[in-house]
Amino acid sequence: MSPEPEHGALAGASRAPRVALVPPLLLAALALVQIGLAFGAHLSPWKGGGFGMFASNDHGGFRSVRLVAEGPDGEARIPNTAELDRLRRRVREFPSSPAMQRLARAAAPDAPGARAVRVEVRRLEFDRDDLRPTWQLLVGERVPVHP
Amino acid sequence: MSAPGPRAPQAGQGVAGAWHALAGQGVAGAWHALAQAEPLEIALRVALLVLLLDGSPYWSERVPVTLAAALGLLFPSLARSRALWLVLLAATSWPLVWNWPFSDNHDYLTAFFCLAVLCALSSADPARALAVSARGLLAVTFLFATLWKVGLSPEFRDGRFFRVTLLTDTRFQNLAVLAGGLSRGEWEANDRTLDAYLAGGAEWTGFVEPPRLRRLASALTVVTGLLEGALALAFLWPGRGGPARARDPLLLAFGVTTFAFATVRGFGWLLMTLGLAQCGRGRPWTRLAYVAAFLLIEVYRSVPWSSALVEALGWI
Repeated sequence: MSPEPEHGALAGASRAPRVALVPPLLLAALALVQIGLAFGAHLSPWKGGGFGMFASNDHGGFRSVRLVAEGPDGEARIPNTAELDRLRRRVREFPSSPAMQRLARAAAPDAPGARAVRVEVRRLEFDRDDLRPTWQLLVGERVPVHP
Repeated sequence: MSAPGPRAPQAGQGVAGAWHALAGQGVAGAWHALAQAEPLEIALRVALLVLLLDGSPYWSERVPVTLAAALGLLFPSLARSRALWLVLLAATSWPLVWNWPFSDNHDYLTAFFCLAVLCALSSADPARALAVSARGLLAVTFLFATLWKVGLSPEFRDGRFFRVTLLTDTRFQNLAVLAGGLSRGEWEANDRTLDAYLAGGAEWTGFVEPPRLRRLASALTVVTGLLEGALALAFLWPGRGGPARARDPLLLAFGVTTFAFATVRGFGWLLMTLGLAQCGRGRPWTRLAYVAAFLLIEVYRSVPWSSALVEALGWI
């Protein structure tokens, strides 16, 4: 009969099957990658498997994605549409360059004549004293599009 | 004829024995049978229950998980089948890739738990292997949760996170009213103020923020940071002595307090399941406490107790 796990387990993790350490080690690796992406590529701290939820007000609810068409007559905002919604939300949570380019190209037909579409991702920051909210630009990308 | 008293189930009866006891001997017998059941079997059954009940809102993600979990619950021999857990691992993992980066943190933890069960069932001592993995998953979860809160997020450390959350997150509205000195009308006015300001049509007039709410935010910041830090330490601590003694009390305390307001049922259930899985034999009351906390988390989510309390106290 095999011995039952002791209280608290791992009284000797060394005596435990090594395969049992694989899931926690992989989870720790994922969490480290998530931290890298959050600080290096603006991934929302709440997403990505790094357990940054309930730690920061930097989440999708307080982020905004603005699409601006640059045309011969100046600039114009491109409104959100149902077709763009998923791409826009993806950019909001993780504004990687490929995701922003995909969003800009998908939005281009909504801005006929535009030479470029600018994607801007902003986050809301709250003042330390009176909690006054202000938008801060997180990242932006200008994507040339062909009319 | 008098009803027989509680008795231990036959070997291998496990949770099935608990149901048998519930039918034949009442609640006391069921508790007794559950306490005596194989720890691994209870952990697997509860995990399957979580997978069954906490499905994705999208049918394509939910159906494979629901079907596999239901089969595991209906046919006890399947619950220990590696093939079943391989299917569950695949069914819980592909949405993480397909939906990147939308999945919540507990979705990742669910997939890693399925991997842990698969690894355990592939080892010579599945109960011990699952206990090791579960403890490790809990340690990593709370280590990184603490790292984010205490180390990486200045707005958590200075209290802003909870101040803003209490003032703007509907999940915490009742807590803000019950313990923060805010009326429901003031909370809704704050909400309108923020919406109008963000829409660009109004000057910022400021939040209504009573001093009591600031004190509540400070207290939540300190308690959450300390509790999660203590959990990380307890589950990382080698051996059974020192902080490791506090593992179960701390995790149970986290379950019964945090999820009273943060109604993230799936995450709460998963933490209680991991607690159950890292629990060895010989501590039946601890295992029962995890099952009770599991049920309580469902009550928290389903019963609008905090709204009822707010209404009863007339703080609307």
